[in-house]
Amino acid sequence: MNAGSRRLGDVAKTLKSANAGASRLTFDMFFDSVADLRAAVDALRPEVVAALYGVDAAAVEVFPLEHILALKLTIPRASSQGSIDERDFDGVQQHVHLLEVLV
Amino acid sequence: MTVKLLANTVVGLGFSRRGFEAGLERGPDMIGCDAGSSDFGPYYLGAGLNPKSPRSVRRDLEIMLVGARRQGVPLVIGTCGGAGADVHLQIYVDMVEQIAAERGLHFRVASISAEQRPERLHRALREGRIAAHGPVPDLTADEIDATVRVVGMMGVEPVVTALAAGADVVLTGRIVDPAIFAPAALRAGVEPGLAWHAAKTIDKGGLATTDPSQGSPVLVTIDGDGFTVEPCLDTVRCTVRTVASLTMHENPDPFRVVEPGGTIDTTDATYEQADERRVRVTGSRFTPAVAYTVKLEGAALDGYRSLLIAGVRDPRVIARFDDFLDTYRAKISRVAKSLGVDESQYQVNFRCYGRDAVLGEREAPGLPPPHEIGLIVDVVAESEELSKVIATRVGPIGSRLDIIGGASGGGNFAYPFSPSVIPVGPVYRWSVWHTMEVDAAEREAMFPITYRDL
Repeated sequence: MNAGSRRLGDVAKTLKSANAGASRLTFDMFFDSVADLRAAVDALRPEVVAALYGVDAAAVEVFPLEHILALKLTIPRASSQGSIDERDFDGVQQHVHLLEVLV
Repeated sequence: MTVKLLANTVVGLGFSRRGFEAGLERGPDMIGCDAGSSDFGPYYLGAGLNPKSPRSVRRDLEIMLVGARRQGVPLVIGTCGGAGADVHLQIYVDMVEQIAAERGLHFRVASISAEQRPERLHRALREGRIAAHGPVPDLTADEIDATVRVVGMMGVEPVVTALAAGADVVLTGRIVDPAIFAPAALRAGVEPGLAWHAAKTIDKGGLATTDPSQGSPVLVTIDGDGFTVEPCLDTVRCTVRTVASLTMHENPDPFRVVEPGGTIDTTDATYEQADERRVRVTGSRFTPAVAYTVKLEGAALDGYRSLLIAGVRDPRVIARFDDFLDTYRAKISRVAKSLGVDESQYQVNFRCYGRDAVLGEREAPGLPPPHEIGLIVDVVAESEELSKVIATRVGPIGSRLDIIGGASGGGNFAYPFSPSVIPVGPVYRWSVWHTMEVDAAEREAMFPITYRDL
């Protein structure tokens, strides 16, 4: 299969988001192979993630964990957990933009 | 030397009684369970309420308490009452005393407070010892004054002290989760890297297993150069992935978990499948911090909330929904002014379900208009009375707003409920989400211990 033709939502076995404390959002992904994991790391460059979520690229942290075929991304929350303008208290639906990223 | 620690997930979330009995048969040296989290948000800290129901808490607490006394090993319950302030801790102290009286149990209970007085924060702020914890604004004196309740997250030290003083049951206010379990291992002479990582591995109970909802309790056995983790129910498994993933969970950096006094470093840790159900971990390290820091959590009152829920189905209104909301907001503002209410006294937020309620400004551009919108008009005002005043006006204003130009029907809002305005009560925000550098004397003063022999 060509690089850049598969949806991350199809490639990743698990793709989820959650709060990491009150001021950060973290995305956890698991893959079937090191090749898939590395392809995902290539696709999820900080500037790509930054554009999807409207954050500063310097604020995007990327942690590949090859020993468990996992990838973790961390970005700032839109606002502090439970603020008046809260939309997703536990941060569990924020992963959706990543589903469509091409790997 | 072998040390066994038995862990349930969260008090009030339930656990397998059969699994717990199986865990007791393994001869644990201590039993522990977390009872709270900041995950519940600033509301429960600010309001002083427990997110769990007393009946659920009592069920879990009683089984663990009776089991621990039968086994003759310490029971440590961390972050009592959800947010771990004094009012929350007292709920657990009272319940433990009640269970002891009813069951005729006699033991020494230690309760460790984690609530902090504002003067302590003001002093630390003046002395430059307070730093932001992640991407949050710097703390100010005004924000400390606005804070209704603040807790510090204790580390292992107060629990070590309580256990050394012969406490059979230790109830703590806000605490970092591994510090519920690590003290028993540290007291037995286990080196910090192993003690902390083993504790971190079980502090979410069943999350270490293939079945997070049924996997509690879990047992960790620390011996030699590592530790082995296993679920107590034989129908559940621990795998390298479930165990190694734990340092990822709700943590910004998957290899390093920052704790008071140091960092659990799993960069060089190795995880092996010991058998079908057990995982062996070696190579964990604990790097002591240059300065001891305590994480602080505080909540401030933001106002009082009222909600209005309405459905919008007319495609002509939905097609012009941005205009609709702008006009709506302006009209609300005019009406509020006519009632003598200043804009600084209230906020109105719209959540448009079916459109961008979940992602807000982070929603993807260019999506087609939905066929219906679930609109929540969220009013937060400085008093309960004012919140109601505004909220009872926003319904008629929005429903009668003519955005189409004379072609509107009887109203824009399809209300599912009567009354249409729902009072929610106080709203709190995280006003303190910072770390404070402390010396040993201040650390001890921040987490005072009270002993009672029941």
